[in-house]
Order: sequence, then C-alpha cells, then structure tokens
Amino acid sequence: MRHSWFQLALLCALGAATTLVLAVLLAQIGYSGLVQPLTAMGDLAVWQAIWLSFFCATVAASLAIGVAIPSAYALARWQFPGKTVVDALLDVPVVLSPIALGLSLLLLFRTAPGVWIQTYVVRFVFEVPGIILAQFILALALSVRVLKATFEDVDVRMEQVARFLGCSPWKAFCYVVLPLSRSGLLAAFILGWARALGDFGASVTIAGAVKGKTETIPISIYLNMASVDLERAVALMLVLSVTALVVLVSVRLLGRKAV
Amino acid sequence: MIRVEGLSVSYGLFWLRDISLEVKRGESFVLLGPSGAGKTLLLETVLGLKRPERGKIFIGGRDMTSAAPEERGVAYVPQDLALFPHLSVRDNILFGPRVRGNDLAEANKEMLRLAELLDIAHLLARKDVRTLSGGEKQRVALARALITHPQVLFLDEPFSALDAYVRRHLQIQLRDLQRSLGLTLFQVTHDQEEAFLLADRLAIMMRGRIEQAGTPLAIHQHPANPQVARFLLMQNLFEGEIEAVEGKRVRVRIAGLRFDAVAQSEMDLRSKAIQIGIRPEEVLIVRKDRPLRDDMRLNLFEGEIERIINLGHRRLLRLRLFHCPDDDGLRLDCALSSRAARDTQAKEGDSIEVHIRPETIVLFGQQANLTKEPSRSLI
Repeated sequence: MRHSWFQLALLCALGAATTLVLAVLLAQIGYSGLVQPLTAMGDLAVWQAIWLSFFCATVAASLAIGVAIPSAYALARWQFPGKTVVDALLDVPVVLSPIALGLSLLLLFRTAPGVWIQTYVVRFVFEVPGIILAQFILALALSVRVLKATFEDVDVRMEQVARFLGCSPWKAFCYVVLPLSRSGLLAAFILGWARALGDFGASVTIAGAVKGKTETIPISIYLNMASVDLERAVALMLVLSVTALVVLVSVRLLGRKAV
Repeated sequence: MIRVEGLSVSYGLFWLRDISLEVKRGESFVLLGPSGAGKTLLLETVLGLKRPERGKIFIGGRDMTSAAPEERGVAYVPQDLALFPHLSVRDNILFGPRVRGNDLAEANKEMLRLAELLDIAHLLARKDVRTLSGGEKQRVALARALITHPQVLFLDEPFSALDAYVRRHLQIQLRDLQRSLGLTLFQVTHDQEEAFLLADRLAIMMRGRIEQAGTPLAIHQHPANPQVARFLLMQNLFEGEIEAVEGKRVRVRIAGLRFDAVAQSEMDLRSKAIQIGIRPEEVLIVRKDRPLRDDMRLNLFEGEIERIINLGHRRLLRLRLFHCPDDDGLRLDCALSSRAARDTQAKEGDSIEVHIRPETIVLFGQQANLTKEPSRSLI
C-alpha cells in the first residue's frame, strides 16, 4: 500500500512520542540493570516508603471521592448563580504548581484558625496528615472533574421516572445514578489515587522530607538521589512506573466498559 | 381526577398563561398541538417537574401544586422511555414495588399479569433492556409504570420513535388496555391520528394556549377557530360575505361563487364578513356516469383539476372552481382515497363538477389574514 506524506508524518510523530516515553522508562533499568534495584527492594526503608505512599494515597483518594460525589452531582444537576466560578475554582489545584499549593497550605496553618487546628485537632505541618491533606486536594480536583462529566451523562429523565415510581431524591441517586456511574466512579477514584501517589511538590512543601517519617515514594526518590543512592531510587521509580501503567490501562478498560 | 386552575409557567422566554383543564377518572385525555406549542411544558408542570408561577394543580381531589413527584401517586412514561439500562427487564418492571417496599410475591404476580396483558411474558428473562426492539421497550415501560397502580398515567409522545405499523398496533393496544383497566390517561402528542384514536377528550394547544377542548368528534366537526381548523388539516379556509340568512341556513359568497352552509345555533351572523372552512375529504367529485341526486344540486360547482398530489394511501387534488371558465376562481383541495381516485380516473387538466354538503361547511367569525388559496400545509 502506498503511504501519503501525511500518513508518514502521523506515523513519525506517534513513533517519536512512544519512543521517548519508552526511552525514559527503559533508562531506569538501563542504568543499573534489574538486579541491583530488585536487591534494593529487600530494603526495609524502601518498603516503608511504598507502604506510606500507598496508605496516604488511598486515604486521600477515598476522602476525595467522598467529597467529590456530592459536589460533582450538585454541579452536574443544579443551576445557580456563580456556578461557573465554583466550577473553575475546584479546577485550580490541577493547574496550580504543586509547590505553590503546598506553600499555600503552610501559610494557611500560620493563620489563627490554622494554628488552632494544629494545636487542638491534628498536626499537619511536617506530619503524615499534611501529606494526606495535600494529596486530598489534588485528588479532589481530578475526581470532581471526572464525576461531573459522569453524572451529566446520566439522563435526568431516569431520575425523574424513578421519582414517580416511588423514590425520594436520595433513593433515586442511590438506585439509578450511582449504579449507572459505576465506571466513572472507579475511574475518578483511580485517577485521584494515582495523582496522590505521584505527588512530590505539595507533599514535600507541607510535610518536609523527613527520612523514615514523611518519606513517600517520590520524596524517597528525591532523598536517595541527593545521597547518590541511585539503585534505591531506580527501584522506587520502577514501582511508580509499573503502578502508573496498571492504572492507566485499567482506566481505559473501564472507559470501554462504561454503560 | 386532575384539575388545573389558572396555571401560568415560564420556560425562558416562553410562557403558558392561565391554563385551566379537567380530566375525569377513567378518562383518556390527549393534549394535541404542533411542536413548540408548550405541551411538554404543561405536562411537566402538572407532573411537578416544573414549578408554576401561578395556579393550582389538584390530583385525586388533593392540592398537589407543590407536592414532590413521589407523593403525587402518578406514573410517567417520557418520550425516550428512560428504561434503566443497568437493570434486567424483570428488575425494571419491579423497580417501583421494590423501592416502595411492597410485598414482592404480590408484585411478582402483578408483573406476570401485566406481562400477559402487554405480550411481554417472553421478555421477562432478558438481561439487557437495550437489546429490546422499540415496541418491546415501550411495553416494558408501560408495565413498569402500571405496576404501581397510578391514579393517572402520563405519557409524553410515547409512540413517536416507532415504525408506523408497530405504532398503530400499540396505540390500539393501549386504548384497549385503558378501557379494560379503567385507566386515567394524560397524554401529549403532535400526531392527530393518535390523538383521535386514543382520546375520550382532546385539548388543542397552540402557542402556549389551549385553543379548544372537547370530544374528538366535536373538535373534528367544529374547530373553534381557523388556526385550530388549519392545524387539523382543514386547509380550505376562505373569507366571504354573508348574502342571506334563513333560520340556520346561511348563503355565503366567495369569489363569485355561492356556498350554502348550516350555522351552529350559538353563532352570531350579524356581521357581513365571515370565514368558512371545508375539509378536503368533504369535497365530493360528481361522477358524470351516474344520475345527479336532487340533494346534490345545492353547492354544485364547475371546475378543473390543476394538480394531483400522490400521498400513497390517498390523493390530494388541487381544484380550481369557477363561475365561468375565464374566472381566476377559487382554489380548493379535495382528498380522495386512492381507490376513489382510481375509480374516478381523475387526471390533471380534467373538467369536473364537485359538490359540498351544506352541513359539512364550517363557519367562523371574522378574522384577518386569509386568502383565496388553500393554506400550504397539505399533509
């Protein structure tokens, strides 16, 4: 088959993009092979970082989805003055540089209510709850975005019909909207979780890079790089890369299965 | 069963103003009107999906103006049916009893009875409602609505997405079901045949107002005004002058031709100007091979066939009636069944004689903007 210059150009661009990403991933193994990173995986500190990362991301994404479901539903169904502004506001953490978000949080906890919360409720600055809070805000923005689109896709007529069949608004939401949004809910959680897992800037700004205490995978990579312990850094990078791949493939599969 | 009093509701710049209507228990009520008349807006307001600015809605004798949908005791089948795609056929039908916490054994029995009535018993095992045909989906949606024993069943253009054959079949089935179960129906449609087939009582809605309400026969025979007449395909509408009144007999002169008509008793005939309407199917072509009956000598006109439009099951003949052949005359549409058209062997350019029975001519009070041409809405 004869290819036109246009098709060739498309192929070149796609090839270049794929090669670049593959090169970045393979460079991790290329540096030290697979043996040394795998040996580093036996290290307790590596597992602590992995555990802390997965724990923080799971808590942050769960809290985020809990807040995102009602928020996104309200945004999808209600018309109110200033809706566009609220909608845009919830997107700001996605656009804002994570370090700016982290710094804003630090400043927040210097205000009187912030100090009160730090003293009497829970300490966030230089503590694990700080990481969870930073990751929660990042995950929330993504989850709201995905869920708003999901809820908008559910025909409002179905809810209306459910109401006439005897549902209260709450029951119509539980029995019709939520089951029809299953794929969107999973995708929102997974994307929020992945965003939380990969965060460095916001976490490190509010919680610091304290070895063994606030050391998530990205922070650990940063610390290991600083102390030129690249095998350990590569081991952690591999964990992040494989997780990213699994997440992205599952989100695509969910999208294909969506009702 | 339903009483609507002085209802006003707005949607953007569109307004329904001061709507009042009544639907009796066990009655099939159809709201008929062209697209954009505000039918769905009125239906949604009566259902409680839109909040009225003014007015009251009573259902089953209770004031339901601000009641939540689930408190109204009615069922709703929207145009797109809104079957739940995540539930099987059986679970769709049983949705109402389940969320109401009804006895499921009883609900199952009721489901089987309805499935039998609606010919969907063989579909109950189907897992995916999206694989059903249009007509099957329709019946499942009806069963889902009826299983809750609603006081009123509201239907919004329920047959519009179906093929003509399936549509007619289901319309008749719904009419039979409505009669046998004594259902109170409130239905919205733009399809006249559907409205006449399904309605005990009809209301014609145009531009946000109810123009006329009554039995299908009364509305068909005596449209309230030329707008309603035109919407009901009475496209032969002319302005004329009253020449003589003798009791209920009225002689009207239009373009040099004299039409004898019969006035309705309550008509005001003091003004000289009048409009008349003639249904295309009431224009009779006089067969030259048969002797003329005496009663056909009145309203007997000469003319020619200008054009024949083939509509499949019928033909529309555009005629020019004249006093003498040099006149510009009067354009009149005549509808014939395709069999009658075949029998008369009518061709374009043929000279013909037509007769219009005086009782079939509808008289309207004077209104502006009519011409000597039939209106363009031919179908």
